[in-house]
Amino acid sequence: MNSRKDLPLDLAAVQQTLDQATGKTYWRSLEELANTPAFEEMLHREFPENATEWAGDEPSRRRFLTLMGASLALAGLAGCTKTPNEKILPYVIQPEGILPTRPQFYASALTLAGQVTGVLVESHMGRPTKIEGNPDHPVSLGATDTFAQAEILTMYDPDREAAVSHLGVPRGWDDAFNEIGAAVDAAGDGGERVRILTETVVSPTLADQFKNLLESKRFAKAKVVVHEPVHATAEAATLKAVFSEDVTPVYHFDKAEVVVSLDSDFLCGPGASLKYANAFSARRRLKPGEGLGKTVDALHRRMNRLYAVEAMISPTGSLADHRLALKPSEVEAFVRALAAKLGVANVKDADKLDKKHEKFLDALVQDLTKTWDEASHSFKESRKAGTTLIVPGPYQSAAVHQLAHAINDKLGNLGQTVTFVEPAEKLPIKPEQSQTVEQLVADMKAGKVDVLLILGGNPVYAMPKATGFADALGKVKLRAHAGLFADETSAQCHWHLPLTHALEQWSDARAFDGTATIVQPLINPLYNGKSYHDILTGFTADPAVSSLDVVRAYWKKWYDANKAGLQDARSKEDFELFWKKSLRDGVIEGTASKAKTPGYKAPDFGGLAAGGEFEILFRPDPALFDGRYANNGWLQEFPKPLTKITWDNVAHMSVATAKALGITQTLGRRGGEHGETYIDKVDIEVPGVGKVNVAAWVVPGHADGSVTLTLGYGRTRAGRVSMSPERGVIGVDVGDLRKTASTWTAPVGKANVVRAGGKHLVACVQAHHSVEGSDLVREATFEAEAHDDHFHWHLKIHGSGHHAGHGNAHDAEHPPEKQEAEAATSATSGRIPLDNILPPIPTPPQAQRWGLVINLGACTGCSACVIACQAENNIPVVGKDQVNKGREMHWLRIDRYYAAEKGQDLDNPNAVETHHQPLPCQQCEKAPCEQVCPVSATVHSDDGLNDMVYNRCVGTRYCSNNCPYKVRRFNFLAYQEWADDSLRLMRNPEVTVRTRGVMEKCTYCVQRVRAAEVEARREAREIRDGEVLTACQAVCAMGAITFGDLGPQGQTPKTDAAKLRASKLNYTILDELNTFPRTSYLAAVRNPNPLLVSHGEKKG
Amino acid sequence: MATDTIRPPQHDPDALVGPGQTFTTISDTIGDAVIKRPVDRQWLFGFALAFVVLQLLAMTITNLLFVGVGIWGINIPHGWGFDIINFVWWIGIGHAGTLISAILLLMHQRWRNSINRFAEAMTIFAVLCAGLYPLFHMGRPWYAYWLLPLPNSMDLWPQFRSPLMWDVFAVSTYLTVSVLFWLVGLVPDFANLRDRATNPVTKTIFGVLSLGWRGSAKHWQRYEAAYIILAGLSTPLVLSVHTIVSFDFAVSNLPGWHATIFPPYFVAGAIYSGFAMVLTLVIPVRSWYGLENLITMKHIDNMAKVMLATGLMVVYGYSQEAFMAWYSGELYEQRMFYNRAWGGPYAWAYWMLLLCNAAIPQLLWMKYFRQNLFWLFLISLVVNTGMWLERYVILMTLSRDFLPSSWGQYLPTVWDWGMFIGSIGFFFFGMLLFIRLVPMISIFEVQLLLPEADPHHRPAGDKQHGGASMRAVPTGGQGGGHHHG
Repeated sequence: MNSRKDLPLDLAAVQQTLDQATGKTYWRSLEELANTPAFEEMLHREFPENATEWAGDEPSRRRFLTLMGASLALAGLAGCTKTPNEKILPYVIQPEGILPTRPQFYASALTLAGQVTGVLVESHMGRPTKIEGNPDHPVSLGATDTFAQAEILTMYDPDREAAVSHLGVPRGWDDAFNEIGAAVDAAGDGGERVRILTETVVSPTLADQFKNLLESKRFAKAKVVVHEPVHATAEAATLKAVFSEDVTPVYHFDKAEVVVSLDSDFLCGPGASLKYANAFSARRRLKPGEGLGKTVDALHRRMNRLYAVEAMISPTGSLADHRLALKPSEVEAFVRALAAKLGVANVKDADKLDKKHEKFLDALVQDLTKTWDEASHSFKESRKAGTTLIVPGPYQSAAVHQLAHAINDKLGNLGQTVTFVEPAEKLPIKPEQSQTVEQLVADMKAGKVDVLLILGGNPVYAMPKATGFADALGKVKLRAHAGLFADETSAQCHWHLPLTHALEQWSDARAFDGTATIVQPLINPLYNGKSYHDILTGFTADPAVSSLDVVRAYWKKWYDANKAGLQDARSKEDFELFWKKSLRDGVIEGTASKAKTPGYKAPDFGGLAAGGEFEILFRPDPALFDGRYANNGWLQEFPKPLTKITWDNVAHMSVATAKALGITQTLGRRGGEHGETYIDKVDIEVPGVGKVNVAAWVVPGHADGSVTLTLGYGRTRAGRVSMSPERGVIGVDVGDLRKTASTWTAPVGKANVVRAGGKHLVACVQAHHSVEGSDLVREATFEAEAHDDHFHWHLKIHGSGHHAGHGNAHDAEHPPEKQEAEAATSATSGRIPLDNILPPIPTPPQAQRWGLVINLGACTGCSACVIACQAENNIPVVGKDQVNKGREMHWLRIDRYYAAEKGQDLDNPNAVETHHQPLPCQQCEKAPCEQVCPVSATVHSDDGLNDMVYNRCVGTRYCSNNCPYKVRRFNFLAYQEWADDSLRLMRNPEVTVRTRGVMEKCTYCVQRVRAAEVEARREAREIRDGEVLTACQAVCAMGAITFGDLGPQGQTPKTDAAKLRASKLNYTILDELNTFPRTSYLAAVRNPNPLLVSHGEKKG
Repeated sequence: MATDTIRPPQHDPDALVGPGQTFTTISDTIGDAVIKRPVDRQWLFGFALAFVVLQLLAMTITNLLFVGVGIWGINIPHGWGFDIINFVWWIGIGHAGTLISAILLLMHQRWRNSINRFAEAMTIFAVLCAGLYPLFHMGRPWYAYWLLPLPNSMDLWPQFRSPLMWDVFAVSTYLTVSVLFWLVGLVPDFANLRDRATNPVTKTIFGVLSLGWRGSAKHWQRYEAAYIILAGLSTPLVLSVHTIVSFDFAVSNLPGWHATIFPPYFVAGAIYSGFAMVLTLVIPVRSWYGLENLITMKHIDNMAKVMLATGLMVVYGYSQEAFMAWYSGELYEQRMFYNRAWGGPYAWAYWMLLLCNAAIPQLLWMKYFRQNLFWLFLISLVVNTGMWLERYVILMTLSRDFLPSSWGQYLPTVWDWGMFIGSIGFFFFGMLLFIRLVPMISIFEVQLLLPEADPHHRPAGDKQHGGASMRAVPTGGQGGGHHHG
């Protein structure tokens, strides 16, 4: 597989690489540069901590000897290697604004599969360390998603390919341009037999460069193919069919009172989810100050209602007021029935929905068309047009999209809650110079392609096997791949060209609504890479033209054409000012796409596509997406939002389906519920396409008769994190089951999904799913109180204590009335009145009382905060084996509990309720951990924070045992990466790096608190409310987390956090232990459709 | 006093000294085992085995220091595992020694005299084994001295509210007092051996160890005073050490740990397991070294009775845990007990524990089982196992505490077992050395059990008797008039 295998150490090549190296070179020996397999092997063993095979704590004799050998060998080599020539110089004149210890923030943008997020990158003395959302960016609005948080680690990834290479031999960039150029020239007139395969182009400059490239003589007949493994292809095609032109829909959740998601994860999935989450949650969140009094009329007026119809439970679906679990063909049947009921014309097969969903459907139809009248207790008045919204999911069939927009049209939503803009991503090239992937494969097979330039992406892995891409690739005479990593695709290409990461390059990017951002480099390229711009320049013009020049030139041109329309007076005058402002803001004024008002034309909806006894769903993975993050330890170890599985992909299925298949699950004895689950594997076959053997996983709430698989696993060449000689490949590549790159569903027969022999070890960090009768999660619903001719609304809180858990043995001990009484006490006072022999902990009058309030009603469980916390606080990755032992290190975890409605069990997916509960350190005022530490390594600060003094910790772990919330994490082994240069650069210098044998935990990002204090003192003022954002708070698009000073006890709350804390919905967990937590929760406010609630029975 | 009568010609099953024993025979039997007896095959085999097993401990600790406590099976939520189980188990075993030496001394239980030396040695090695665990279970054991209140320039002190802090004082005090008590008790016997030894090297060594003991009345008087003071110091320690060890659990807030019954229940359990361990050791040693006449069936019977009594106290403790779980109405307590006994992954251990600690020892109500060495030996092993399981069950409650999301399990690794088995090797290594190098039974104290030792003793027509006594007990017996205790 690896063409390099037998190459001897090539000194000439090394010399050449050295000669051509520019900037910083991070090599350690000649062999490394030459990339011999032996050296690679040695490197893998030498730098073990970041998550690969080191995990084992029973080092074998064999590995011990290998390690010894490798260390000796390295020592020897280091001895005869010249130290890299690095100059360090102090600042003679300190650059403006750069102060040691004070981070700088630079606006930029990150791109993922055509989705652009505006970000602010924190930089410490020239090292980017953390990514935050850019509040000024219309899509980000200050938040980011999980993937953006993890990009930092990708940038510093020591496995990134550092050398231009030809057949594994290091070469120079000049060689690459010359030799590939020569091949292009030889491939027919005007590059007739040349193809360029690129990822989605969201950079206007790059699009322009493509245009120029294809207009140049050299490439005049070449063709460009755009390939994006996870892309809403159905959506784009459908929209064109319905609206006669290319449009991008923009949803306005701020205006929608009733929202129906048709398998759309609009709060957390790909696309504009950050913007949507913000708008959606603004209607549902309790505002600071609300809920202090008796009534919550404002919240009731604002509150929207969400219905979710989907197969695999998504974060959005888990937050829905009503959720219907249907497999894809049934989702279509549902939409057809809904459309017909609402009066959409020409809907065929409208009666194919199972009758048992009739009640749900009727209630939904009523809700979409009428408003609730409490007096008559019925839906009465007709609802104002344009106040509802149907959101079809990106992986749904064309028919679902068409029908969804037909319903939106019928309900008057088009132009109201759904508007349209011009698509932002568009390659301005002639149609004859553009090809689809299928055409490319056909051409390759036919031998019509001599040169293939693959710019980014990893098509050999991402293209399903059935497309034959990988096989056809062999027929191309010269194949070049530009990428961050030497992956499966580079292994099959002659040339590998290292790319720069988004944080190392000049570029630009347009968000889905057209807003453009200049991408600016935060650091010199670490690994000798070049950007797409540089590569395209290298083939057409002078390679010395930098990407900065190219990007600037593009925007100069744009500026000259558009400066008249700019609002900013100073920008109007001078391009330099415009450029600087754009850089600083992270948003280029006047670039937002023009709104479009396309005419709606009802298409022929066709008939219902036949479903299968089993329907297989393919979805991007919440951790690895399409596989591009396979070498990212943070994401590999990311507990996935619903399943809490790390380091694996599984076949998600419902309880009933699993029972029918005979799936059994046993807990291992090492980590048990907290890391080690053995589960049966299933064989899944799509006839005529392929077969995979993958671990099953039971997800209560998943639709029966369907199996959801996620992409991105089974990478065979992805770096040391995703694979190692001992452990092999992680997960299973489900691409073998997909016919085309746009296959998102595959109906199969019953015989095609069977239990296979053998069990698979899954590292799931929370295998227990019931609250077991404890009052941990609370919900609230509105309750009306008649008042003359109108109603006042207040909230009724339901504790989970009577919510049932599944198999709860103690229900009888906690009757609902008692729970409610307790809930009420606790919600008002935040405390339960109990005598305590410990005196209250005095808070100095000047000090803040920091506290965190988490709104459970706004948490989708998406877990972006988990990665944000990891990035901010230098939290190590421990590897699958350590997770199996129950030793993962996340300071913030999201607990997930399931409950079923009363009289139901988890077998019925429609009765399943999913609760998410983020659990950082509770920062108890009377912290159980502090009393038991024999050396005072965990103590209270003046402002009441429960501090951890790493230097003082001797590691007795008593504090963790005594922590009722189990939020403390222990360095059982040396988990931190101490050896790798590049990963050392990545660390946040404000946070201590913990050594072996030391306890750690959430600090409320105390480094940020202290920085704000210093700043406030310097400016002789108080710390402002909202000045300190914890990392988890900053990243949350839903605004579920509020941090702030709770103010002196017993005084009127001043800050947002204090006001929320004082609200009736607020409660603390396990307060019966008298820990007095500073972290508190707001009960999730639900807004169920009264027709779907049988009164007093919503228990579990 | 029973010894006031003439020793019956027939063997009395209740006798504390076997028939035909004189000062001379006692001195010979015990002293010769140290001075004259050649290194026999049994001992050598046992010693070699213990030494090998001890290496397991050395290997584990070396690996532990180089790699970290992660080599064990501990995790979150199981911050503690075998480390603390074994710590508590070993400490508990030590308690019988102190109880026998100190409390029974103060209570004039003369039957203790032939087993106290042995039990004290057991205490010392058990406490040494126990002490290894809190030291090496730390993430950074090289900073263990931070738990000591050492004055330092940073004004940093240990945190006195932590039970682990109390453990440091409790265990170190216990070890110190136990060693002193043992050494003081040995002085007259060392002098005896010094006088008996023929080899000049041995003579010199025992000469040094006997601290110039000549057996004068003054010596005896001071010795008596010191011994009583030490017994007085040790007595509260029997209660306090395991009370404080139980505080490691009782002071925490975990369901199943946070219980006021823990201190008495732990002390009873400690004595229970300690007596079981004494029996486990004494039964084979007694027959190997032909000590049937010194450790008689009366001793064995008494120990079995103490075991039965303390075992019942422990069972009462178990019943109270179950009762309080129900009576408290506390969700977490009830859930804990439900998981401990039925629902949890460690329920098997709970039932095993009840079998070993509550059911099987009830056989001791029957004299047959108290007198049959084979059965008694087996029962003592069962109780040792049961008491280990008790600590196991207590530690395993960590697996399911308040938040179901953080439930987890614990499986000991090969290194957990390595440290445990290695510490058993260390214990036997020490005990076997003790048997070889030190009189394993207190010579002079056993001699005191003889009728001849009684100042009012009137030997029936044997004028020589006193003289023989003088010769036979040149050190311990000289002050024949002293009253022990």
